[in-house]
Amino acid sequence: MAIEFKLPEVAEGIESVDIAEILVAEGDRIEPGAVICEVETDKSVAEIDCPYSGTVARILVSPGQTVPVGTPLVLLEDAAASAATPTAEVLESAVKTNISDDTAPPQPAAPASDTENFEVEISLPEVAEGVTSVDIAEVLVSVGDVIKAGDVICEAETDKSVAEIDCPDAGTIRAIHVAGGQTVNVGEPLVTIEVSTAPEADAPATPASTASPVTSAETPVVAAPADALAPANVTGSPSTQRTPAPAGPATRRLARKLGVDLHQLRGSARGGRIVIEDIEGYVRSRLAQPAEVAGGTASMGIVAAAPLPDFSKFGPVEKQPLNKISRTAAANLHSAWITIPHVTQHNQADITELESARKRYVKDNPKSPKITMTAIMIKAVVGALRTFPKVNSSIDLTSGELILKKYYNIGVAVDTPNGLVVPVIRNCDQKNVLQVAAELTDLALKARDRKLKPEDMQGASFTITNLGGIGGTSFTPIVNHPEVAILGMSRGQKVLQMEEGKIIERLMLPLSMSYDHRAINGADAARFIVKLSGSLTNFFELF
Amino acid sequence: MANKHAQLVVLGGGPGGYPAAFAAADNGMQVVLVDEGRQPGGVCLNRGCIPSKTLLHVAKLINESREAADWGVTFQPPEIDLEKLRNFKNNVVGSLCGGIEGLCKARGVELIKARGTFTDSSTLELKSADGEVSTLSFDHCIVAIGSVPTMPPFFDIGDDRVMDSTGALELNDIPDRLLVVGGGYIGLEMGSVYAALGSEVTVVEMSSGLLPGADRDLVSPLRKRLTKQFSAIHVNTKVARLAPADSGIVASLEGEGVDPELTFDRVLISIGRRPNSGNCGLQNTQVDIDNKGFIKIDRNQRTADPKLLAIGDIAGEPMLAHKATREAKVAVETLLGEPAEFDNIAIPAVVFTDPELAWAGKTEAEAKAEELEYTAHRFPWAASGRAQTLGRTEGITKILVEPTKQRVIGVGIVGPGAGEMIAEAVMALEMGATARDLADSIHAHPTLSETMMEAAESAIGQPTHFFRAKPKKNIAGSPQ
Ligand SMILES: Cc1cc2nc3c(=O)[nH]c(=O)nc-3n(C[C@H](O)[C@H](O)[C@H](O)COP(=O)(O)OP(=O)(O)OC[C@H]3O[C@@H](n4cnc5c(N)ncnc54)[C@H](O)[C@@H]3O)c2cc1C
Repeated sequence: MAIEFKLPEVAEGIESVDIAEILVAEGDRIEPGAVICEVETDKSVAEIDCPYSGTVARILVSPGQTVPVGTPLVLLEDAAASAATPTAEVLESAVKTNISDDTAPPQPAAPASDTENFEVEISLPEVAEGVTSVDIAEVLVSVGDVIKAGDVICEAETDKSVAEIDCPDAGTIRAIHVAGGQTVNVGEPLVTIEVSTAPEADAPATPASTASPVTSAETPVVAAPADALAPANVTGSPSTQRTPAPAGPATRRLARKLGVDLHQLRGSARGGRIVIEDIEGYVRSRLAQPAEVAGGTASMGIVAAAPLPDFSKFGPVEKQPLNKISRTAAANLHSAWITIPHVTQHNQADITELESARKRYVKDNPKSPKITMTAIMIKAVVGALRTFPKVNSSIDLTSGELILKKYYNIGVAVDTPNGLVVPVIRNCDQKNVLQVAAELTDLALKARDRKLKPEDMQGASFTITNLGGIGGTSFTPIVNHPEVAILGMSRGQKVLQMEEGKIIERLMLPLSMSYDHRAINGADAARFIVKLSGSLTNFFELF
Repeated sequence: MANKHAQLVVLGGGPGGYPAAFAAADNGMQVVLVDEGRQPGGVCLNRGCIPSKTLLHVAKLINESREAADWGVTFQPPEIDLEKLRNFKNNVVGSLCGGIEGLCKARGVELIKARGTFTDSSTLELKSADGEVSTLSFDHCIVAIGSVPTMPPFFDIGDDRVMDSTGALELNDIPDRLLVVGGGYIGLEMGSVYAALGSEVTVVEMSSGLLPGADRDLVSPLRKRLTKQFSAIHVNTKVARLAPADSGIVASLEGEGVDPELTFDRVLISIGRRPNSGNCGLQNTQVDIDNKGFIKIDRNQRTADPKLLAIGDIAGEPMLAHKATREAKVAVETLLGEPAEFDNIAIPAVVFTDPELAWAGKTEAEAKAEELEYTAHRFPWAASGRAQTLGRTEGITKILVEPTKQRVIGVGIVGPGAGEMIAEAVMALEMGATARDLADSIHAHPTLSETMMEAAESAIGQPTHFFRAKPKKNIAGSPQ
């Protein structure tokens, strides 16, 4: 096998080096540990040694050249890796290094010898009784791999277990039809292999036969930035790896706009080319089908309320138009209530010491921003979210993903004469309680004056609603979609408790957390609220 | 110019930056374009595509005037007024760059001539040529800061007879003996210019062939012709050392059958380009930079920093002006929330030598490496009427076709005008055209574009003007 030995990282932070001297020659046979070249960094001179044995087929750098880490230094033939070197990158073909003869025109691949080859599609077998589809967890083979009967093709997840799918035949992988994350039905093709009738395909049929599955492709993996840019999932999405669908740029753009996967379509033009009319037809036929939600159950849709009776029959009425805030809130609450399986977890937090410390601070520091229980709660919630990241998430059923948020933007429900609004305090993990308190006061004032901008109310990852100022013992708030949890605070209550035989008075704060049961399980929700309550009691945890 | 804020800042005024600024302004954004150059246009207009192609046109004219002798038309050897030639080139550059300044004004794009350095993800510190410093904050910034020639310290011997492409384009003199280090497109293009003007040109390439990346069968006719124009082409050869001497620059060469020491009047280092990511404060932002120095982007040109997008040479290979311009459009549409994506199937590559070499989609080498199933169909220009009338029959038009649906997956062309002809291939690739789409479309006669039609005909049968006993098949391991 041929290996390109690449410049390893010479020292931390060094991204490129100057090649000082090359210490091997083409044709040299080298053993693991042989020094290939000397390089200069801005700090030192280092020897680069090669962990592989093999024959130096080509030297790919020259003295004086500045090369970044990862640059191929030499091409080794008949190379073998020494035990502890996982970084070998096997060349699929020597063509990549441009060492093919300059004069000879590319030759067709060597014809198959006297053996007969044919292609077989391997499809998903029945993994377990009653299982009709699986999620592919990982594909473990690559195109070109030579496999034996019984080798594992991929790992698949059913709703209960993870299974390895192995290949019933020996051969060479010619095509892979599935990708990690994809849902595949029993009977659908996984890979196409070329089977040979020759006795045994254990000879090195292709140079790539020993290639390990391609690790990270060159495609940049970039965290989808939030902000004004719509986040796009670019990490390993299968569509970027498939061959492009046969459709022109304008057609592809329309498909993107409508969310149509062109690979699902059959084109009507010559050679199966997809034209705009094909997309229109596809969308029309999809709209004609009954709506389905992921998982296959028919959607209930938003059930229309029953028509209202004529109330004036029963007494005088007055009609008040709903304002925009109320109408929007109504629609959002309705859809959250219908789509999110809600559970509410209650607890009482002992805030006796915290509350007296808070009061003392407020009294002693009249000029400081007013520290409220809500401000303290924001910091306490951030602490608990850090411990239970699932509570700071969104669930995406279309892609089957939980989106964990690495930011802590806390929405706070504010009651205003015009209705309920939820301004957001951003990056609460980076702010101390005084900063949070100041921002809270400011936002609450803006809310009352209807001065909040749309940006002020976007991007929350968790919401708090405090009805303690009004009263009540507990309530079940509705999760603010697309968040997965909301914390309700009620009025603190003095209760009597026994401590070491004495009756003592404690101030208990009732907490009620509603959560989306699809994203958070009951035990985690209980742990979250216990951790949160504990941090209010032992409030040194908050600092 | 104190502290300023812009909705969108475009940093860098090359073929990535200025189209981005224009597209954004056309869509109602408030745009500031920042470029440190004396005039906008970036590498492409000032010291890249445009000046090099201006000189290559002159070179072609000179060569054709010589070749005409074979057809019975003999000209006097050319007299070259170097200053006038330089002015012609400078005027072309000047008028195009001036045009960009004019378009900035017309579209309400504010052009600031200053160097920008990021102090954080939403602020640039600007320093103008006269040393004035100010800050510019933004909602978003499109980073289009391009690339510069690679000049290893080892070649950088502090002697202005050793030049990069920028130096070579200045055309200070016509050296008797020119060494071109690197047989990529820039080296061959500049070598062709100097050879036509009268220099003896020696090309040294470390790998085994010219133009790594292009298919060997297409390079071959070009190499044959260059072998006549140049005094020597040494492949598999390294320049180990350059040393200044009174007689010239002494180059120590390592390679089989090559004189170990040769002296040249000038040396052009054209061994590649590297992205400009090193010195403009990108470390103060959240962008990710790969180990080659490119900013990592997604298919919408977004970087890891939500405020920054990146396009052009700074955003990865291939480092070509037209890739930069397409990325500019994608970046702006992304900001506008349009359904854009850099989903292009073909980025054409053109080498403007004589003959020209151009390709789009898969090269045959790539198709092999990726183990794609394909058939290759070469139409030799000797069978083209138009090529005969030009006296240029060395060309080849090659089409790679996927065998089941006969969809075109790659096209490569060598021959005069290949750079213009490749446009049809790009269109075919982007539209998912099949060989029959090309073969059944009427191509004007007599033109070189007919070779595309005839190459496609050989994918579905036999071309009219060429007969091959059996078309070449290249289907890996298919049943026989
Ligand atoms: C000799 C030569 C011939 C070429 N021929 C061709 C060809 O035929 N076809 C082709 O497609 N491509 C060609 N190229 C490549 C082409 O020039 C580049 O791909 C193209 O210019 C890249 O465009 P860009 O917008 O990314 O960056 P650039 O054109 O490099 O522009 C970047 C601009 O940003 C400025 N800048 C950088 N940093 C800062 C900063 N911090 N503050 C302010 N300004 C900054 C630079 O001064 C420059 O003006 C050629 C290049 C060379 C050298």
